[in-house]
Amino acid sequence: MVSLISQWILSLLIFFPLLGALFVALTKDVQKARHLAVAISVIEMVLSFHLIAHFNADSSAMQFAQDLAWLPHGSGIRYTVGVDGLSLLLVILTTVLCPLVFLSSYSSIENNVKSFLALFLVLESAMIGALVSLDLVLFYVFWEAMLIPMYFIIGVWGGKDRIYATTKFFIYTVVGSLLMLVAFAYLYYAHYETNRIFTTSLIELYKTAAALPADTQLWLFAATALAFAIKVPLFPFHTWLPDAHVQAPTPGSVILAGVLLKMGTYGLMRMSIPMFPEAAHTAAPVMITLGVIGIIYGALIAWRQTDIKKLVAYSSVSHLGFVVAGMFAFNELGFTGALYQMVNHGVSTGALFLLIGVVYERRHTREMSEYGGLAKQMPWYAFFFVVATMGSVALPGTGGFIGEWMILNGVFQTSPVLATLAGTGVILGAIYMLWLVLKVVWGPLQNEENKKLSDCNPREAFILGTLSVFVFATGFLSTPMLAHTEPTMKKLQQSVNNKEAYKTELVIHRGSDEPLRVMMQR
Amino acid sequence: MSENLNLVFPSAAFYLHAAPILAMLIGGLVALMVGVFRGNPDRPNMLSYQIGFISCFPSVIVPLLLLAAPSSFGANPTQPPAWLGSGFLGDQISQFAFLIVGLGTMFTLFMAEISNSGRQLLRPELVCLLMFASAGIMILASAGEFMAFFTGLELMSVSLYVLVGYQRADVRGMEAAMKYFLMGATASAIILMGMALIYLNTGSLRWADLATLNVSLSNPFAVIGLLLFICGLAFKLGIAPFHSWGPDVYQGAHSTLTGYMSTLVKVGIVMVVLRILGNGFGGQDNSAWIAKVFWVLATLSILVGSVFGLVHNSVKRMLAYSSIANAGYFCLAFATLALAPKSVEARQAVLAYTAIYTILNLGAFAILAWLEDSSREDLLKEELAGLGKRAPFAAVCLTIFILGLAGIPPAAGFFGKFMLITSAVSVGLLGLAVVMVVLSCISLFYYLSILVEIWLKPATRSSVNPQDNEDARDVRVLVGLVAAASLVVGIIGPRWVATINPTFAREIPARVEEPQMGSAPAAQDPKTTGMKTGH
Repeated sequence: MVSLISQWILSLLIFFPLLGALFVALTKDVQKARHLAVAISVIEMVLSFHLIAHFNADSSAMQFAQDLAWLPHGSGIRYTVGVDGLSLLLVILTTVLCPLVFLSSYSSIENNVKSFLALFLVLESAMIGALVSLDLVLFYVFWEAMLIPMYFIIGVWGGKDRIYATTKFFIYTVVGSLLMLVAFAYLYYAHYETNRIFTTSLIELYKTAAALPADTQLWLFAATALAFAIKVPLFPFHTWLPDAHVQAPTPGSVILAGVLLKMGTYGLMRMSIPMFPEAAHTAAPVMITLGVIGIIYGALIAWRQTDIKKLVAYSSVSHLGFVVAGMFAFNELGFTGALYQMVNHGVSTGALFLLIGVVYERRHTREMSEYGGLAKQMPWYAFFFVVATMGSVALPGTGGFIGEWMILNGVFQTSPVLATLAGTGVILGAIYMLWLVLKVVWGPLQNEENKKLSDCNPREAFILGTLSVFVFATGFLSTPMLAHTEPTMKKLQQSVNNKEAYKTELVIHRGSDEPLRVMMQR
Repeated sequence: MSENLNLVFPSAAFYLHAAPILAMLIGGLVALMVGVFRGNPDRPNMLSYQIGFISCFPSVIVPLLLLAAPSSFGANPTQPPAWLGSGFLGDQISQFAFLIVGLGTMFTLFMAEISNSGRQLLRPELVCLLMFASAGIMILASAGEFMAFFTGLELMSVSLYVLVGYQRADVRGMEAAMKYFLMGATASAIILMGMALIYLNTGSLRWADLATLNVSLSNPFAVIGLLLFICGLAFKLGIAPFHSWGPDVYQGAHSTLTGYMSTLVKVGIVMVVLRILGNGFGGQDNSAWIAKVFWVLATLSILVGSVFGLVHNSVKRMLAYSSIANAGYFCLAFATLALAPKSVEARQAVLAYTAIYTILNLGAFAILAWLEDSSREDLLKEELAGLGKRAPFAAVCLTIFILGLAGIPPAAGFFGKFMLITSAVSVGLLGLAVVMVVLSCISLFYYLSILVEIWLKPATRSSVNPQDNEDARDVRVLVGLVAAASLVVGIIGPRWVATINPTFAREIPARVEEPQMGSAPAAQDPKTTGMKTGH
């Protein structure tokens, strides 16, 4: 039975929310639709725990894999999915964040509720699909499919300038991904040239890509990395992010910061770096430098913001700069730190956006000067706010500390100067975040309107409480979590540093009785 | 004696393979006669509509049968048959085109019948002209030499000139028809000149003999001839810089007919270019310039289609520019074919893209026709505001079509473009592929601006408000089917295209066919045919 579930679990995770979206859309009653969406996402989360329970932490292979025919045989385009240490944490992050987001939408989304819920479930499907697909075309389809629900989520339920923001978001992302598509097409034929067989299997193309001449690799690296850098967003491609974040409704912001941005860094780690190790080495100084510029620039801009949401948006630019810098250090610490920081950023920034949503729903403003002294009126709110801030500024005890520490250590090994500069980002981060806390939560309660505010209701407290637990859980339970990723990160590091093809295989679970079958790729 | 007869009367298999064309032509004539003898010629005539509809059936059934089981109908898949001195090629490319044209014509007729303004158009001569135009397109798609090609081209074009100006009371329609006629006639003349110059060089009208055409630049008459021919076809396809008629004509014609014009006409012409380029030219090393010509045309088309579309707010004009941009993708495929004439992938990519593009554009124009039914001709972008609320079904379908035209998965357009790009990259057209992709991002602006109006803007006083009546239900079913088809193709990929054998038919020498005349035509034994062609 377990084996049978393992065989189908990833497809189930991808298509269950899609099916759920249909049911939600067909539900007559709005309130029932909300409950149904929460139930679907909770079931999805429980299903995803199967991955943790049965993941073989000693292996870097693609587990729970499934390899089915999709397009006609000759084209070599197949439906191939699997998770390894890299995608596992992100899949769990997605499935855990989604129920919380649905809970938060009870108050933040008031019109067109059913469409919102259905679109969001489609988005969840696409995100999980993109994280687990091991076929370039399948990945691309999910990658683009993520765009459409998000386009509508920002465009329909967003703020005043939502149309500008959502158009900008869409076009930025598509420009990058179309170039990536051309790179994929090139690889597809490069593989045919050498092996006389068409395939878009990522595992096969790792070999083809790594064997290409250095200058070809560099072009292909640039094309794919551009797509991912826009999504991250890496400085100087970040300008769509503040607009999108500020205009998006609270659930949209949470999932944008929590998962969608991670798609960029995930893509860099899954594709750009292991596929083109030689080009990655050539580009590494540039990428780390851009990361560090992003860290400092994002932090400085964040410091000057008066809009709370914009501040947190720019802090994302800064935090994801850490992630990019860490992974391009090409050592195990850097890779692990980058991956861990993705999770931490998802949790703490997600929490911050939810917190902003809580007061925004009450006051309909995001101006920092409108607030102040909320701690007196909303003690629980203040508590959660401080916890999320602690996670964001990477206080020891939170996951952010471990992530940033690993990244800085990793970068230091390759470039002490850049690591030092990145370190100032930590300080700046503390400054602007604590400044935010000071302005919003502490200080005298002067604004008359704030005196009428009510504290978090149980639903909000539950969401924020859960995320607060995660902020600390990632801090104290890092060893068991990272144990799952270690073999993958080790292998990634080795293959990149030896400038050789990244090797992995599919572990396919067959039937209910047969033992694990490892499919070795040729 | 029988040899001579054989040249005049082709074998029974010909009538089977050409049944779609013959049915269209006969259907058209009968519909016209019905108009003359029955009823008021100024009023819509349902009988002629039904005749037209029924005469589309062979072009759906016969190709399906022939594509599903080619060998059981006397055709050898490795050597498909050709008749009438290569004037009619019975290969799978033709059958595939027949299928698209047949379904598209049925769709157009049906759309006209169920929309209010369309029904007013359904006079007998409309049915007749549509049938003739479709027959012309089919003749184009199955032509293997210049004579049949030109016959088909003129049959199609002349019918279309009239169809564009079919609404006699509409000044804009008359203007469009006049423009289309003058420019189209010029293009035909240019094509004819090109044909003549090519004939001068090869001494043969058959496209199979183009292999002897020396297209190196040292042979100026062949080069000029081919260039003139390509330019003329580019005009008919609406490729920049020969595109300027497109937006005006599309805007002037009734939306149902615009959908027909922007899709099926291209099917015919694309097949012609596919056949000509797919033959390859003599002096293959010297024919790289042909790819360069298409390089330039592709770049111009995508640029014009993407940039000029930005400034318009008439939805039809935007879709016209979108189809110019999409014609640029056809040029990408032609450039690929010019470099690799025998590439099976490139040919299949063209077929797949043609079919997908037809589905998407027919669907989009059908929705426009439906919306215009309840407001007025020539819908503006702003009038779509709030459509997502007022007519969610139409809005969802239109969104699917627009995303498909923009090439965003999971709508169908993605795989079409993906196949074109991969086959282009395989012959080293990486630069052109990048240019196409980057420039097509510009066109996203106007595709998105339509989506913005539909979904993100509240309805205003001038917004369209489609009526919910019996017609609307029919439209819903029809458009829903097309939208579902485009989603299915987008999700499972164009699987069917791999089953199509894109080999061109070659003429079987007459003496091989001779013994077939002896046997009873109806009971043709497929086995003997297979054996004979194997000789």
